Amino acid sequence: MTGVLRDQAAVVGIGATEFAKDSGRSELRLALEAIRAALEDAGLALTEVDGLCTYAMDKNPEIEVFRHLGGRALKFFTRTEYGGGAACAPLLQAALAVHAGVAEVVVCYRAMNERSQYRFGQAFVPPPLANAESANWAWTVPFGLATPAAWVAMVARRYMHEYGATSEDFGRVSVACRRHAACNPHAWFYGKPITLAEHQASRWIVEPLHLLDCCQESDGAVALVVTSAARARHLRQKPALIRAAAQGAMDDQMNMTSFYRSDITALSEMRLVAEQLYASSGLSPRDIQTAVLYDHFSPFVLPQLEVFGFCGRGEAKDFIRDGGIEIGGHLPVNTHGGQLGEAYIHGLNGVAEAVRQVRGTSVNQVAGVHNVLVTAGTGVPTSGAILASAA
Amino acid sequence: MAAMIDPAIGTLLAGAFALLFASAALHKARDLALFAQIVAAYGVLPGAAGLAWLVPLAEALVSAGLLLPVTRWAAAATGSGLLLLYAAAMALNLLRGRRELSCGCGGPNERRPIAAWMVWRNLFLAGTLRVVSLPWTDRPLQPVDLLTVAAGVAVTALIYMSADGLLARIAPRTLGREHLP
Repeated sequence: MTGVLRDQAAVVGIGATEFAKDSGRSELRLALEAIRAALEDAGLALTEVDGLCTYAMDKNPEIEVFRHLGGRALKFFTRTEYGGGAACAPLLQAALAVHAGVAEVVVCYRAMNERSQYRFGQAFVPPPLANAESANWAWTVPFGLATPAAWVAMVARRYMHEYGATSEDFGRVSVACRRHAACNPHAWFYGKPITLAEHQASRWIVEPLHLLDCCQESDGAVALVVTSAARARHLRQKPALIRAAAQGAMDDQMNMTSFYRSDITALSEMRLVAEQLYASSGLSPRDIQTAVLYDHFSPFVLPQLEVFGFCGRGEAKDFIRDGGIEIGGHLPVNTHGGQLGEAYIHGLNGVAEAVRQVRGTSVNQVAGVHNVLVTAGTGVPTSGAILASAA
Repeated sequence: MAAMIDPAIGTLLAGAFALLFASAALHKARDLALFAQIVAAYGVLPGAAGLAWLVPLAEALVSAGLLLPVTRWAAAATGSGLLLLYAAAMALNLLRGRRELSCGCGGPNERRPIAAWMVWRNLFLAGTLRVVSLPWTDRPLQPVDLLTVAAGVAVTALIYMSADGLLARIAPRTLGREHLP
């Protein structure tokens, strides 16, 4: 049974700033530049925007964005929690709003000076209040388990132990992403592919994560324009239909630190997203031609391949060793270079790449694309979507 | 009477284009695997990536050929052909809406997506290069001509780099037809 949201809304415009290490301008300005570019891409006027969706850790209030855009009436706005885990959530929110008739033109945005103004990779400082959020971090941060790399290293080490994956297997993800980024002029690592030997020689951040297993810290912004599928047919770009979108959180879910589960490598919240996406789209893994898998850290790409059914449990290492994620492989992954190669804009740049693959305009275009899977941050409550071309 | 050019002007033009093609060849040869990947991304001819190594080789031969009187005509024709081929590949992809492809121009550290102005630039360069093929007057080059040629090549290169850099920042990137159904 397919979901009621299937193909009801579409991404009709994408826009982005350059991806940099020091943008030299405010996050608000970055957001506005990306939104203007996305609306221009769609051929829609600023005044037509009546919905805004973003996600946590974006510091641009919806009303400030709307005011500076010159918007007139904002009827719908949401801000989904859990950072990069919400990268695809704005698509679900926008599709819901458009299908319900609450809003007609919804802009999803993410802007950050995450390298020049603050450092995402640094040790996390919990809020100084005694509340549920600080209690979550109290189990790890005071004991030195305080950085995203350290949290992910716990899961990566366990995954290696259970399934025999090696650092080289993680490295193959980085190598593939950097190869894809190398011919993408918008990628920070344009023209800079790496070898597996370079990956192995890069310094440890937290064992088993090398430097080249970790995504970048980037400045930049991305925006998407969502409207109804009916209206999309009359706009200037080939629409990327939102065939399915889903969010998920599961048992014993914590924020990056779900270490008290019986199986910490299973990505159960991503499995829930996968089940919803396939159920509501009526698709199976065989119907997906390419995927944008969230790669804040390379090890997490492996279990994502498994929970989405592209290979069996523990078999992702073999899938990758066989070139499965490369251009020309069974499932080319992160054809823009991912967050390891293009930029870390908390996953929304990956959604933009999924749109380009549906349009047929990606730098590393995969042949015969009908359905593209895109996922969001792992280790946190998460989200995902399948974007598709019209039949 | 057929148009003829002064040998100082001819040498200047040939020298400037030789510099351009030598730079392009060197830039591509530095990372042939990456260049092959970029060629594949253009999606113009199936299997073209496997022959990508021929491009810097051809550019190097054009560069050398322009400096020798006996090969100048063939080098100019080949060079013009290459420039037109690049223009056609960019125009085709712009019309496909694939505006994010790397142009592979502007030097090894330059990251540039393809743009309409690059198509016009290549057409202009291809036309200008054909001037080198015109008959040259038989005025012997004088020592002072060497100064003219050397300074002229340097100034032409500087003007080209300035104009290229400026256009990359201000010129529209579209051909204006990408959004047609």
